[in-house]
Amino acid sequence: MLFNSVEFLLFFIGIGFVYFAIPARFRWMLLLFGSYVFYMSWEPSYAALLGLITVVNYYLAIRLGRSITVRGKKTILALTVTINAGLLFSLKYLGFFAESLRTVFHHHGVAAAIPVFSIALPVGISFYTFKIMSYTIDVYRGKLEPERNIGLFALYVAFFPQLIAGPIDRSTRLLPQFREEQMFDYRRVSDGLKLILWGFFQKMVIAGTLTIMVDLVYSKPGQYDAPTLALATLFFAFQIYCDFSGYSDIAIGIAQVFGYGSINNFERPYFSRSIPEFWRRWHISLSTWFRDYLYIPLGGSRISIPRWHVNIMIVFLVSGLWHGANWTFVVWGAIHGCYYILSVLTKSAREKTVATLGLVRLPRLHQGIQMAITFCLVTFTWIFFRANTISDAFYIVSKLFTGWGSASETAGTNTLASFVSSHFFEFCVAIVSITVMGMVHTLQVRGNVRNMLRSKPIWLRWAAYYAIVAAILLLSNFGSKQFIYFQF
Amino acid sequence: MKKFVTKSILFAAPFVVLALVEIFALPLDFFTFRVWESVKVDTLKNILPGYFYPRISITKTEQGDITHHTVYALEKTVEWHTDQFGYRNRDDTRAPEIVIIGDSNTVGTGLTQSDTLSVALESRLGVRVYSFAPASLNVFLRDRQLTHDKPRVVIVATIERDVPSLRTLKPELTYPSVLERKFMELRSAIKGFRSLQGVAVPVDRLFKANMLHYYRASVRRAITMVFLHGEKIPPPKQNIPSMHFLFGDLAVQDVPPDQLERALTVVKSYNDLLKSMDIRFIFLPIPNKENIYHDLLPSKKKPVFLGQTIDAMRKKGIETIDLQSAFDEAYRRNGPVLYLPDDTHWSAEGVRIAAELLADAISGKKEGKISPKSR
Repeated sequence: MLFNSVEFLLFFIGIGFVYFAIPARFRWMLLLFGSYVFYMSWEPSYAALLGLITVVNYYLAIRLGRSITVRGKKTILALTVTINAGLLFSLKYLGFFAESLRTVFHHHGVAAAIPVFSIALPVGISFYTFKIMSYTIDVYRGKLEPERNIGLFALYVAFFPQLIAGPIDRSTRLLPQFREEQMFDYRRVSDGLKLILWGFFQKMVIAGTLTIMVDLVYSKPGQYDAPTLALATLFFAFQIYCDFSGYSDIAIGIAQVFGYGSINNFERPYFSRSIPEFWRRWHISLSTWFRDYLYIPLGGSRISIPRWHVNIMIVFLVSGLWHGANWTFVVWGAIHGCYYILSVLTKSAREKTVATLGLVRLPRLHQGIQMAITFCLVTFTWIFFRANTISDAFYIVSKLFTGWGSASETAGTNTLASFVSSHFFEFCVAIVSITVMGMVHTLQVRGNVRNMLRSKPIWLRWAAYYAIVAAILLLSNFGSKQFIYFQF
Repeated sequence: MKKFVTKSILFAAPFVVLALVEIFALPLDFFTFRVWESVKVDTLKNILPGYFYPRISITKTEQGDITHHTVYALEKTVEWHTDQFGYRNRDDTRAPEIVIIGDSNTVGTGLTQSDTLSVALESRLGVRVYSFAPASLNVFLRDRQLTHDKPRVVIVATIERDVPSLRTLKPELTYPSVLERKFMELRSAIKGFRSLQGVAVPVDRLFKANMLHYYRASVRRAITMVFLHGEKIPPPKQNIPSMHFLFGDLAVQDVPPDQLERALTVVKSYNDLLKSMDIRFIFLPIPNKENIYHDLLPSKKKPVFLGQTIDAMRKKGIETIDLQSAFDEAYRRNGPVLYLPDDTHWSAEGVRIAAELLADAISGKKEGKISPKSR
């Protein structure tokens, strides 16, 4: 059941009406039941695995809470991390590493009988595994008591708006909310629905339209010239943002309708003025997870400089690998790690350059340049994220740096002009809708857009809502349903 | 809560009204350029009996599926009638002696009802011919209402490009158990309820949302035309014939031998099954437009796949109609009149030739002599 499907719409309306019709004490049960129905709609066997993981972690967290010795606590924590990470590794990475080993042995002429692993990856496993691990570590750290109500814990793990692709909400934030009595609140529900509508606009109009062009170019990069590859890469930067931010907005909006606040996953990341800032604004629930449960345990920044560099690289390489079992993601993470380290190392030199150029006196221009450079750096890394293979990625990079010149360079490839004219409708929709999104983001800098709308007359508000619905109905790509982050 | 429900209803009202107007006030074909899209079952395939809505009669001015909404479009008025089972036939109490299972060519896309293959064959043989299309032999076997009255002849017609991908027979349909047979009969009986069909058709139309798709297409066309061509549709380029192709040179690519082998195996299984049911089987592969008019393509390449298929089928003892030779001869003699110029499908003349060959084969006459083009 995809968010952008009629089945989900009916499911959501049904659950929503029953939720507010039944007594408050039964609502968590309805949500738990609904979450499992939602997950079973993908594949019933996934729900069995989810249930098993939930029960095991519930029990281990209880034992962790009861344990009074540090050693005992550490042992149980190690066991839970091993179980969860091991399960994720075996389902997601075993095949990848076995294949990589086979390649290495083959390259060195060694005949090794490494088995082939081809396991279907349960949808959402990367997200709910991280959710469970954050809960267990928080219990270990004493940030919260282990949850005694297995139903509430199961709901925390399987909460359907966040189940498939996050946000990776923390137990310290979500579990207490499940215990509160959520009354129907008109403003909260209508705000949630507006957020859902905006999420659909981002996903279906912008990301859906961009998908057509990006997929075409990235499926056969050798058939296109450098400007077309550059355009496709630029479009992918917006596609992945709108796809995932759209999903997150829908998920957060749904949770808000039921009365639960979620962590915000995106904070206008393409307005970032540096790479560290980008990572404070992009996929916030994941980057803060890595910060709290990997970076800080590794020692954070309170260690020697070389060791800190190593820690940063570890975090970004793991982050890259988390996205998928492919070397393209590892390279993507590695580049971001290098960016991050370089941005810190070059800080004083950059400040001196700014002072020399007199950009301090022109803060707007300075900010604009910073944003443009950061955006270009991030967009460059998306090549590795999106390319089907590492060789495709390197081909695109080489083409972007060398393929802008002579006619011989572009011979036999589709030019930008022919590409745009053959996808003129999609191109127009993309440009206009990205501009609209940019305007909304600019307004968001000044404050909450929904609050701004509230102060406007009803005809204007409703006109805006109808315009978004009309755009979704008339301009979206109905063929593009799958969300990018579902594969992770 | 009351405020929320009231506002939600008010917000949704325009969309509900538009949907109701489309389904209950406007003609079925109001938002489509041809009948096919207006009568095709979209979502409720398991509730409605056939491929099309049952008991529909429409007269519409259509355009071809390749050049619709362009200066190349040729308008033609067609009549469509579907029977109680949702296939393009007039209701008839007589049991069909001949059933043609096929694709959109068998349906008669772009043709008026009287020019379709089943009608043309019926008028030649004087027995009831049933057009069971678009469908596969599996669907025919599943539909117990038709196989109850066992036909004498079953013709499987398919366009050349689909020969390699003909459906393999499903074992559960080929030799069903008593329980499976009962279930299929019950399913067919339920699908036959007129009151159920009366509810299902509007619901299916609601899901199909033809109005929405019409406006989506209109917006796309408007943007493309206005910005790319300055509100003018580009004039036809010089030296381009008025004949249009959907696949062009892609349709005349060589077909790997394993695909021919697969097709042989599948058609042989059709033949053997129907023989075991005491039904005569005839295979009718219809040449691609690009095959017969290959000289109008840039490559000018004549494909050989269909010729090889016909020979191989006949060697295997499968009764196969050689439409390729007949069409080649007719094209040489009368020019490009076998296919609709602005459409992927055959013309009334193409149908007439196929019907003559089939009638001769069924009635035992020697195949291969085609009468001069009807005027």
